[in-house]
Amino acid sequence: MPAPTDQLPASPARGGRRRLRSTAVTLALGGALFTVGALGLAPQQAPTVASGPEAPRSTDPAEALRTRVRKLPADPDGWSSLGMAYVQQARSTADAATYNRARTALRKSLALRPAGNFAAETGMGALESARHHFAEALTWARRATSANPYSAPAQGVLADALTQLGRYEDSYAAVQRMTDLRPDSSALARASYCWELRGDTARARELMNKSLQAAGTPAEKAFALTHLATLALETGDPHTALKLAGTGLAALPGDAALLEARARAHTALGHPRQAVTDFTAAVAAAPLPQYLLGLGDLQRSLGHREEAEEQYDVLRAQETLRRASGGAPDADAVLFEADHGNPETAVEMGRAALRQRSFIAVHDAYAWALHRAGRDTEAVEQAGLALALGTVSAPFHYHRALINQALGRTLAARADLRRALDTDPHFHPVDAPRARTALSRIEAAR
Amino acid sequence: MTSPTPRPRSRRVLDHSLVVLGAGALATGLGILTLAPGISAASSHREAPLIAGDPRADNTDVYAFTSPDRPDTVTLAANWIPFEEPNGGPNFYQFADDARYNIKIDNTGDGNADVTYSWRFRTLTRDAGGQFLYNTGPVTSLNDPDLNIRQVYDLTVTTSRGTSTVLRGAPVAPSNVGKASMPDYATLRAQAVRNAPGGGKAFAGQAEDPFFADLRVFDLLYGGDLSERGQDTLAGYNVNSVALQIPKKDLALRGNATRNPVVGIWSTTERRGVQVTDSRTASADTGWKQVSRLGNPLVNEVVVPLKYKDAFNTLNPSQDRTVQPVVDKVLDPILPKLIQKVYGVPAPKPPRKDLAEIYLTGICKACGPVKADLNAHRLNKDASLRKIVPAEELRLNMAVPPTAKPNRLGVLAGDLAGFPNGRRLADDVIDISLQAVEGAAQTGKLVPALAAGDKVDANEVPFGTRFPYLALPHTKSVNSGPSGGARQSAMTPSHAAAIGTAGVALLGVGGLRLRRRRATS
Repeated sequence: MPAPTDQLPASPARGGRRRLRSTAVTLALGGALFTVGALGLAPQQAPTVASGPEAPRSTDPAEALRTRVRKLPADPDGWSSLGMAYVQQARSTADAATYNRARTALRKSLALRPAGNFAAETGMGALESARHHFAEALTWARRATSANPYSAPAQGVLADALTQLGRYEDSYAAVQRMTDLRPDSSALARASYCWELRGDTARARELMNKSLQAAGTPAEKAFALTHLATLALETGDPHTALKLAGTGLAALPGDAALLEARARAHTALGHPRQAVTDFTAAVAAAPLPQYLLGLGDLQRSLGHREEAEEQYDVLRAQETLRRASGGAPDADAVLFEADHGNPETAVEMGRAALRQRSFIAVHDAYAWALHRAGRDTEAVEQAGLALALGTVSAPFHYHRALINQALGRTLAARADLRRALDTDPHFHPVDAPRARTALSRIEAAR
Repeated sequence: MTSPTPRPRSRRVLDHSLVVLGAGALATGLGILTLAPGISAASSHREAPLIAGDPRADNTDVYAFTSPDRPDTVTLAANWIPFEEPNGGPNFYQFADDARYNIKIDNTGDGNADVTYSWRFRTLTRDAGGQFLYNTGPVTSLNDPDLNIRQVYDLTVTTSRGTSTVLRGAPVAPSNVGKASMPDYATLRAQAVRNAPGGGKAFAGQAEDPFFADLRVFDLLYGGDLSERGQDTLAGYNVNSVALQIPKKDLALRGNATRNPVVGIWSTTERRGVQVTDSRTASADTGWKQVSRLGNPLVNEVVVPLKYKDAFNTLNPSQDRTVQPVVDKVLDPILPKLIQKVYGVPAPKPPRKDLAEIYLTGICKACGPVKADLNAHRLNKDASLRKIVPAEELRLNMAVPPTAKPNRLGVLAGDLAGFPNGRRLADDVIDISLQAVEGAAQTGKLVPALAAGDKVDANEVPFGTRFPYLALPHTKSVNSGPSGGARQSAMTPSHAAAIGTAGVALLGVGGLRLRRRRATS
């Protein structure tokens, strides 16, 4: 097994020999864990539904499809369905091996039916989108929507790619088409997001409630509840957020996104212990950067420096791997690098990220990186782009406030700080208190 | 980068392995599988789910037949939510409150509904301390306070004269959650049968899935094994049904079932649309969107190839003829070609005008090659011939009297009261289809290799003799019965597609039999 020796984060505080030894142990352990995780525990050999009277009913949607393609290996529709099921599974677990299975299944389907295979094309689009290859996702989505202009999922993949590429008007049109074709849970969730992006949180909430009502599976229900909780949280209503996330976790226990939402609600309500517990469970379920950063920042706000660094270490390792693979950085990684690494590097990363997708979150992260690197004139322009749609976002406003402050634009800074704190007084365990301090300083100086 | 505070070595090793656990799989993946990053790339953008799975909107079967015990009425039934698993636990299934369920009747043949029955459901939850239990004790009546979650419905009928309410706040028969909770389910179910004004009856609620078939026969398309047959893949599952018994005159053109006995029937589900792109619109509602449609059994997915299935679901029958690829597939279906490829049985020569006749226009001497007058709208004396268009509908000639001893093969066996003249609960769809797809309608010869069909000839439980005729829902887990064996756990799209293909064929054989009968009589 190839050893990713040179990819581990080097710590100058550690002795060379010691480092070598712990690296070796790590590699052995990591290799073993990988093998177990990717091969041993993978549900590839799941028992078939047909195994007898006592066979429990599976909750894994991929299982029936695996049975199906084993029986009918020449059926392109079976393979595309399996591929799509893997994409969905991978999105919630962030498991790289599952992405690979998804691609294998979808490629198999495309090999069996190369022309007009809109289901596999939709799956490929969703897969590329999940891996942040939005240009490729768009290409696949265009193929799928022209092969079948009546497919709502194909319109969904098209909309997702367009949104992330910053082509908002086109993406709204795709969502409109999707909801016209089939206003089901997944279409309504996207419709909700269109309004959320434009800052109409009331309508976003109304549509996400409709999405919840239309939800046919626990996963759809969990998704709707996650975003209802997040909408409540980000508009300063952590009590409601806590309730909604709890309801969701009753339907889908261990769901990482719901755990994160509940962790943030607990944070806002001043329950740090429960927040740490939920965040830790979320990270264990899916080691996504935003969970790691969330937990790290929470620990930092609690004065738990070591525990915070544990999370940051994992983020650094992920960033090293990303760099080695040549992938584009993500907004979270840019923000993290700006605050915990080298701002110049963060600026580079932000620029690369923006080339990949000019989405508002990327503009925000790039703005923050530029600010940390002292380039506030460029930063304020990017911060403006992040808020150009009218999105209601306390962190975005906070970032622009500090940039404005650095530029000596006190009035603009005050307005943004107020906006941030009015929107969500607990928007971040470290930044929200800083925002309050900055605001009172400005107001005291008047 | 800031560095961690020095810690004991063992701890650091652990930390490091956590790093690898988080990212190591990825690193190894990069080396071995040349896989691009999954972990760090998978964050911070929002991807709503995509596999919609909307069982409450997906209509699985539509039935229409002259009521055997009330021959002056027609019974219409439609099912949603397939594969309801009665696994003994607190499993319950509900109609969607945010959808509209319809059964539509075309008595002029123009492909548009002349009579539309619409069901709207409402869920009522009793205040029981905020708990979401289905029931809090044994339920002995529909009004039992122990039935915590109930549904009621409003039933309306829309004609050219407008919309009127047939039933308001009528109760839905609850899901059968088990003997302990519902010791006498039959009584509960009976309470859910309501009399409608004008001599009709209505029912909505859970029922045993009346469809019976071994869906695995369609594996043969992909080189599967025909010896593996004979198991009702749908046995043990329940569905949610609406059923309606209506005097024939209420459905017939000009209220005259003698002069105008033919009606076309299909069902649809609608969900309410929303406004995404224009913030100035005061209302966020863009009206009802049709998301599911079903007429002839097993057909809509095929004649319609998979690629046009989505389009088909959104169309009104009046638009069918405008979708040329679909019409082409009626005339030149895929299934026989697949069978030829796999089994070497020659496919009948296209164009299959017999299929088009049966499927899109109904059967009449003037309609096409099948020399019989059975169920075409042209047979309605008051129908305007100019307005009749080819459209996919389940067609029923209400003048054909009910058969005392119905034959499962319907018209194919000379039982003209069965499919494709309407569809009865016990009509065996699949067996006829398999024969027909081999061109039996054109050659007049049955294909011996497929003579046994799917070897499932009847539903696993008998149907009732009175409205709503549907069998009571199962309570036993599908996989736990004494005969519990292999089951498909979910209806997959290609199942539906395969079955649909068979539906075309079925119609073909029906035509054949009818022609023979006429020739010999």
